[in-house]
Amino acid sequence: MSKEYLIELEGITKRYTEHKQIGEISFPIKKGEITALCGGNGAGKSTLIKLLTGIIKPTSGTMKADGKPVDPMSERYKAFFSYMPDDMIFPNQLTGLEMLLFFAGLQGIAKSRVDEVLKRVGLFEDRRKLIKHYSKGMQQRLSLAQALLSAAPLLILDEPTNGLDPFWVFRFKEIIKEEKEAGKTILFSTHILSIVEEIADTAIFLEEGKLIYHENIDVLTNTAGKYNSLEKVFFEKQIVGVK
Amino acid sequence: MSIYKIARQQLTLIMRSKWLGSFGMLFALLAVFVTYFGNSGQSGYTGFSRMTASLLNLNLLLIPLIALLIGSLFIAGEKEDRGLMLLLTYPVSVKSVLVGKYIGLFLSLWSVITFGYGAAAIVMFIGNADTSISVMFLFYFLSLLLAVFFLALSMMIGLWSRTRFQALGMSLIVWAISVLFYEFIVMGLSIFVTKEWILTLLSISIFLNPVELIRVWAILSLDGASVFGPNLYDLTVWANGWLGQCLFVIASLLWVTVPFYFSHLFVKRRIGNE
Repeated sequence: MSKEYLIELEGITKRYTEHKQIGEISFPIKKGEITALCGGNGAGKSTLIKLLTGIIKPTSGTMKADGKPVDPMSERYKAFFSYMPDDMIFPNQLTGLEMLLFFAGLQGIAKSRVDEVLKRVGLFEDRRKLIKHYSKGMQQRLSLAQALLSAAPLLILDEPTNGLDPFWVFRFKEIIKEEKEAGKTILFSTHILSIVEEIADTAIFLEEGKLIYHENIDVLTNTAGKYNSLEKVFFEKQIVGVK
Repeated sequence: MSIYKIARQQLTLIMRSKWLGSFGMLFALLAVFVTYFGNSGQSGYTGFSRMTASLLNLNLLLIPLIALLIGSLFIAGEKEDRGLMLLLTYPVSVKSVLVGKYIGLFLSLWSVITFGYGAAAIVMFIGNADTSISVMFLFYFLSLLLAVFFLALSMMIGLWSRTRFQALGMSLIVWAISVLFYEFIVMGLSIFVTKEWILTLLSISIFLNPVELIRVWAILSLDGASVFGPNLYDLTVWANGWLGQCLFVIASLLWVTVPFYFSHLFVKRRIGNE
C-alpha cells in the first residue's frame, strides 16, 4: 500500500481555537498524481498545506512519506518536497535571478537549471530586473520558479494561479502536466474548479476544517450522473455542510 | 554552507536598503563631531576623559537603536512577507537560518561602526588628538560587542512580532528602557533596599542591562573607575578582579545565547501560526 502512496496523513488535527481547527484528516496522496485541494474561503486549505510542509506542527496525528513515518519539521522530510506559498512577497532589493540563485544555492542546484526554470516561467528576459519592477503575475511566476528548481518528488502549490493572466494560467496547466510526466507528484490548492477538472487526477474537498470528499475526478463527476461538474459537487457539499 | 549563503543574502538585502546608508552617515557624522569637539582645548578637561566619555555615550545611545531597528524590522518584514516561512520549508535547519541571518545583520552593522570609527580616526589624526590608538580600538571592540548583544535582541523581537509596526514599537520600548530609563528604575529600586544592599543591587543591575554592562566595562578598562565616586570603590575593586571579569564574560555570552534560544523557540512555535 505504502508503495502506491507518496504521502499518507493519518488522523491529522490542528487546533487553534474551538472555532478554528482542522479536524482529524486522513488521506493518502498517490505517487505521480495531481491532487487538487478545494474548498471555500476559510475551509482550511492553507492550514492543511502548512501542516504538509512542516510550517506548523499538527496537534495530533501522524504523517508518512514514501511509506515511512516522518517528522514534518525535519530536514529529511523538507528535502522531499518543494513549495510555492500563497501571496509571496519577495524582497524588492533583489533581482529575480539573484532570488532564484539564492534558493538554488541552498539546495546545491546549478545555475544552468536556474536559467532553464526562468525560461519555463517566462522570466528569463527580465531576470536582471529588480523584483520591485515585477508585476503581481511576475512575482507569482517567480514563486512558482523557486518551487520548480528542486528535483524533490513532491510539488506543493498554494493558490498557484492567483494573479496570473489567462495566458499564464494556460502555461501553468502545461507546466504542471509536464512535471507530472517527469514523474513528480503534485498537490495544489485552488478556488478555480475548471482548472481542477482539467488537470487534476484527484480532488480533496474541505469544509470548515473537515475533509468532506477525497475522490478521483472522473468518479466525482460521473457518479450515476449525479454530478456532471465539480461545481455541482462543490455546491451540493456546501449545502450539506450548512445543514 | 547554508549559513554562509543565508548570511550573504541577508547582508545584500540590508546593504541595498536605504536604512544602512542613513544610519552609517548619522553615526559617522556624530562620531566626527564628538571627536572634534571633545578634543578641543576649550573643554576644561583633558582630551582623554571628555572625548572618550562623549564617544562612549554616543555608542551607548546610537548603536542599540540602530541594531534594534535594523534587525527587528528586517526580520519582522521577512516574516510578514512570508520569505522566512518559505525559507523554513527548505532543507536547512532553524539554527542555520538564525545564525546566517544574525551574521548578515552583524556584518552590516560592523560596516556602519567601522565607517564611523574610521571617520573619527581621520579627524583625530588631522587634529593631533591626544588619544592613543589602543583606546580607540578598545572602544571599537566594545561598540561591536554592544552591536552583538542588541542584534541578538533585535532578532528575537523581530521573530516575536507579527508585523513590522509591532517590531518597531517593541524595539523603541526596549531601547528606551535599556538606554534612557534603566538608571531611573535602578535608582527607584534603591529606595526600597537598605544601605548595605545598595552595592549588591547596583552590581546586579550592571549585568541585567547590556548597555550598563558595556558602560561599566568600558570605564573600568580605561582606568576611569574614579567616575563612580568613593562610595562605589568596592564595586570597582570587585569588578576589576577576576570574578568581576569572569562575570562580564559570562553575562556577555548570556546576552547572546538567551535571545537566540527564544528566537529559536519563536520560530518553532509561532511561524505559520499567525
